[in-house]
Parts: sequence; C-alpha cells; structure tokens
Amino acid sequence: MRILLIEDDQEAARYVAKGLGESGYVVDHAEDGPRGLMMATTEPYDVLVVDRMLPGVDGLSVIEALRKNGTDTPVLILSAMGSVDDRVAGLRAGGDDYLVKPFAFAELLARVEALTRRVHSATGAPETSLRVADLEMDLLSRAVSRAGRSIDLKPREFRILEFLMRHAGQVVTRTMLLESVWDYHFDPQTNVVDVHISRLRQKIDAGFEGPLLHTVRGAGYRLAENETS
Amino acid sequence: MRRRSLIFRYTLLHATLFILVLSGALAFLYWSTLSAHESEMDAQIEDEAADLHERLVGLRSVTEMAAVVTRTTSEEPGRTTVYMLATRSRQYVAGNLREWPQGIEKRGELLEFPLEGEEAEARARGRTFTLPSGAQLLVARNLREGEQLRESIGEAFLGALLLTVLLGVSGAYLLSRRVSRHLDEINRNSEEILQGNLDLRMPETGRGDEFDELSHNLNRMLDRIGTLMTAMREVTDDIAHDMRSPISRLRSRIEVALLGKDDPEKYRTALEDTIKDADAILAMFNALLTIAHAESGEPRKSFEPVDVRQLVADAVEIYEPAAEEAGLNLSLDESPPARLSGNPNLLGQAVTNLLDNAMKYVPSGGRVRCRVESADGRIRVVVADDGPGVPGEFHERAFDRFSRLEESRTSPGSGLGLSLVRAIAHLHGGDVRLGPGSPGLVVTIDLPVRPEA
Repeated sequence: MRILLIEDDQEAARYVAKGLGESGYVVDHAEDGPRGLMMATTEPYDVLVVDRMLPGVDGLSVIEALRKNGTDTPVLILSAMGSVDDRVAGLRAGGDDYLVKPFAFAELLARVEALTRRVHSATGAPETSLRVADLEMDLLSRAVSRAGRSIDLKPREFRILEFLMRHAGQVVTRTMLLESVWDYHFDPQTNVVDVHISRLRQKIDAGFEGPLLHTVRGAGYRLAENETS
Repeated sequence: MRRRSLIFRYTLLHATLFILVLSGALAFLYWSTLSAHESEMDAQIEDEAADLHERLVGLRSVTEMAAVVTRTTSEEPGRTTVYMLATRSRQYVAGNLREWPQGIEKRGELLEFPLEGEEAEARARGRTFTLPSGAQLLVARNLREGEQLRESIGEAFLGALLLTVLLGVSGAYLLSRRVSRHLDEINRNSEEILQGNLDLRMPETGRGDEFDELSHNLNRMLDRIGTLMTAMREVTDDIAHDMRSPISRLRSRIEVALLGKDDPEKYRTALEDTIKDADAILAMFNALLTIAHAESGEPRKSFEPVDVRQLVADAVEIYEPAAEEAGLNLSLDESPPARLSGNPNLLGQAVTNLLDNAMKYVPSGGRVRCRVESADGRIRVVVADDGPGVPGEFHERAFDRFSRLEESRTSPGSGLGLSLVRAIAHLHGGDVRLGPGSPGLVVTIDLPVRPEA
C-alpha cells in the first residue's frame, strides 16, 4: 500500500510518516502543493493524505485539480479548521474524509485503512447483503442473523452494525461512529458510544461461538472473526 | 498644526467669498448712484440752459442780454454753474467764464470741456446756443461737485469694504481658534490615552452641542472597549490559570513514572494516562475555540432549518443507554415539532452539554426529563433533573468560563460546558438560564424561531 503525504509541517509529516510506515504502509512525502500534485498524477498511490494549509497552492486546490484531472485516488484531508462548514468545503472539493488537527494517530490510521479498503470494495453492483463470519445482514429487508438465528436490532443498532460490517476487519474509532451514525462532529464528554457498542455486543455475541465485536485498546472497535487480523 | 489651518482656511475662504460678493454689490451701488446723480445733474443744467435761452431769445440788444447774464451769474457766486455770453466771433461779453473754452467734445446729450482758470483737470458739462442775433451763449455745470461726490462715496465704500475684510478675517481667526480649542483637547486626550492613560476621557461640557456629542460618543466607545478589554483580560487570566493545573498534573504524572526502577509496563500505563490528560487539555482548547467561534457570530452565515425536537430526540437516544448504565432515567416528554433557523451541529452540542452535566451531577436513581416547547415564536429546550441542584446565587455565575461549583472541582470537566451553551444560545439570538426544580435543577434554552426578530 502506497500513501502520498502532502504536508508542509516537517514535524507533523515525520510523525505521520513514521506511524504509517510502522503500520506497514510505504509513505512518500511532498512538502508543497505543486510537487504533491505532480507526484499524485504521475505515481500510483492508494491513498493521499493532504494538509489543507499548504504554501503556494493550498490543499483544497490540489484536490480539485486532481479530480478535474480524473484522478480518483481516495483523499484524506487534514486540517486545523474543524467547523462543519470547513468540512463541507473539504468534501465538496473532492476529499473523501476529513480529520481535524490535532488528532490521535490511531484515528488517522483507522481512516486511512478505511479509505484503502474502499478502493477494493468499490467495484460491481451495489451490495444487498453483508457477511462477516456467520453474521449476516440483509440490507433490503433489514434482517440480521447469526448462525441462522435471527437477531432483533433497533434502527440505530442496525446502523452501527452496518457501519462495522462495511469496515469489517478494520479499526473503527468512536469519532468515526459518531460522525457516520449520528452525524455528530464533536465528542460528547460522556462516553456514549461504548454503551451502545456493549449493547450491540450483547445481541450479536452473547450466546454465540466466538466473539466478533472486539475492542481495540486506545483506538476503537473491530468487527472480525479473529481478535487480530 | 495642519488641522488648525484647515479650519482657518475654511472660514477664510468663506470670508473671502463674502467680501467678493460685497465688493460686487458696492461697485454696482457706486456706479448706479453716480450715473443717477449724473443724469439728474444733466437734467438740471438742461433746464437751466433752456430757461436762460428762453429769457435771452426775446431780447434785441446785446446790452440787455449781458445784463440778464450778469444777473444770473451773480446768483451763482461759487461758479458751480458757468455762463458765458459771447459775440458771434466768441469774444467775451458777459458771464463768469472769460474765454470761450477750447477742446469741446460731445459726451452723451451734452458737451464737455476743460475749465480754464480752475485747478487742473476741472471740467464742465453743458450746452451752447446761437441766439437769433448771432450771439453765442454757453451754460455749463462745473463737474467739481460730481467729482467730490464720487470721491466721498468711493471713500465710504472702500472704508466699509476694509472694515468687512478686517471683521471677516479676525472672525475667521476667532472662530477657528474656538473650534480648534475643542479639537485640540480631544486630540490631546486621545494622544494621552494612546500613551497608556486608559482611564482618561474626553471633556464633556454638558452644553449639548456637536462637540459635546462627539466627546460623549467617544467616551462611550472608550468605556465599551474598556469593558471588553477587562472581560478579555479576565478570560485570558482564567485560561492561563485553569490550564496550569491539568498541565502540571500531566507533568507530575510523567515525573512519577520516571521514579523508581525501569518498568516498560509502568511506562506504558503512564504514557496512556498522559495521552488522556493531553486529550482533556485539547478538549478544553476546543471548547474555548468553539465558544469564540460562536461568539464571533460567524456561523450565522450558514444557518439552515433545524428541527429542534428531532435534535433533542437524537441526543436523548444517544445518551439513553449511558444514562441507564449510570442508573438514571432519561426521557423525552411528548413535544411538538419545533423548527428554527440555526446551526444544527452547535445546537446539538448545546443539548449534549446539558445531558453531560446531568450525567455528571445527578446521582444514581435520579430522573432527567427533557422537553421541547414551541409557542409565540419561541422554542424552549428544557432539561429538568431531580439531582442536588445548584444554589440560587450560582445560577448566573455558572455561565462564566471555568466557573465550577466548589464541590465539583474534583469531578472531571472543564467548567466550559455552560459557557458554550450560552454562547450558542446567544448566537441564535436566545439565552439559557438555570432555575430551581422541585427538587433539582431546570435548565432552559430559550430561542427565537427567527434570530433577527
């Protein structure tokens, strides 16, 4: 997996590159917009991580130029500006995900992972069902079953599980769940997500062979057959 | 002192314009007075000449004529009117002019000629007749009188003009002095305020004129800036003060971890705890930034329709499992739809902040009831609990940044939650207040449906 990091802050770039490198990614680094744009259009990358504030050509312009050019490599935008309007501007420019600085590295890693996975699954007709081990979800009838036994989920639990199943095997952070399931772009002080997860875990794991919903310490959750994938 | 010269220049310009107009008016008056006088004089001399001619025409002998002329002349001792009776060859016969004048020219209806035997430049204006006997008659008016009139009117007008110039310029000077004295005072005080004497104010005379109004408005402006500065200083002081404790806690945690023998497991735990501390500090900064963002009014630009009931229902739904875990009964009462124009993200944050507080302060077994009311163009979000409540004297102070009840100092939290709620309520043109429950606490966010209304 190759990742291009476009970031002018040396310290931040070193931190991100080191972390991603240790997680098994090959990381190239561009220090400004024009060089980043050139590298992104000439080399095949799996994910681009783009800082929004860049000298010369800013991050959003780089992304817009890439999209006009027909490059559809997934882009994760890093930015110190975290209001909803800023996010909307980032996504409208062609970004696929938006992460506000300062961020936990686990958060960045989880999102990069999610973006690389998107490339591999975004082929063919829209899915009508999801499957992880013996857990099945029918997206049309909204029915969930495990090992043939039907599981009754509330609408919100269904959406949490759907998100986890779509990112099966990957780390999903609390922030990602808040953003995608509840559209909350801030972290409530109360740890609300954990309780929802433990309820979901009661329904899909209790009384079944082998747990599927694992907690990843310091990062979030992973839905998978084995605890480490 | 460029400013003073500006005022002086304006007043001077005004005076100059006035003087120019006045000079024009005086010149016109001068000219019309003199020409009126001239035509009156002309008419008079014509009458006189015609009268004398009449009397002479009937007479046969030169002697008789001379007698009449001499008599007429004797009535005119000052030689204001000149008479001369002469023979056909213009030899003197009678009158007060001895020699027939040279250089007679026609001016208007009458003839004009220099007067001999008078001071230089003297001229006369009149008529000549040839009598039936061939004798010549000259009747003319000495123009000396007209010259004198011309001179005295000219002098009077010039004097008036000089007086006006004098008054105008000195008036301009005095007026500019008066205006610039006020401005000087304001400028001097401004300079002194700039030098750091921030308590100084502009002089207010109480006369209610424009300068007084200017001073008053400047003073109000200075007062407002002063209030804001004080508030700002208090906030930065608070931030500096309240940020010190979590950072020193973080520091001592690292220090303690380094004590004793090396133990990777201990280090790991210490580092993980340090990350938590750092996250808490970042959360405080985020809260401060969000408060500042809301207070700036910036988010108003992107207000959109928001269903407040749905927003509260979502928040209750998210918190319900956590509340149940904590032994609390969290519920949303039957509420009407409540739509307004606002920022859903910030409003959601305000509501979850209230729920966070309830989760924190209401002991296990308690109830937290939410309600949305919509009436009279206002929407109220009410969160009522039956917890320990907040003492009445703290109801207002609770919204200050970093303000926390003494007994809650030990529980987690930044003391910024309610400040953020208030900033968000203000952003939407509304407010938030605390009230006593029976027992417990009632928090009400009161918002207008239309923020401008």
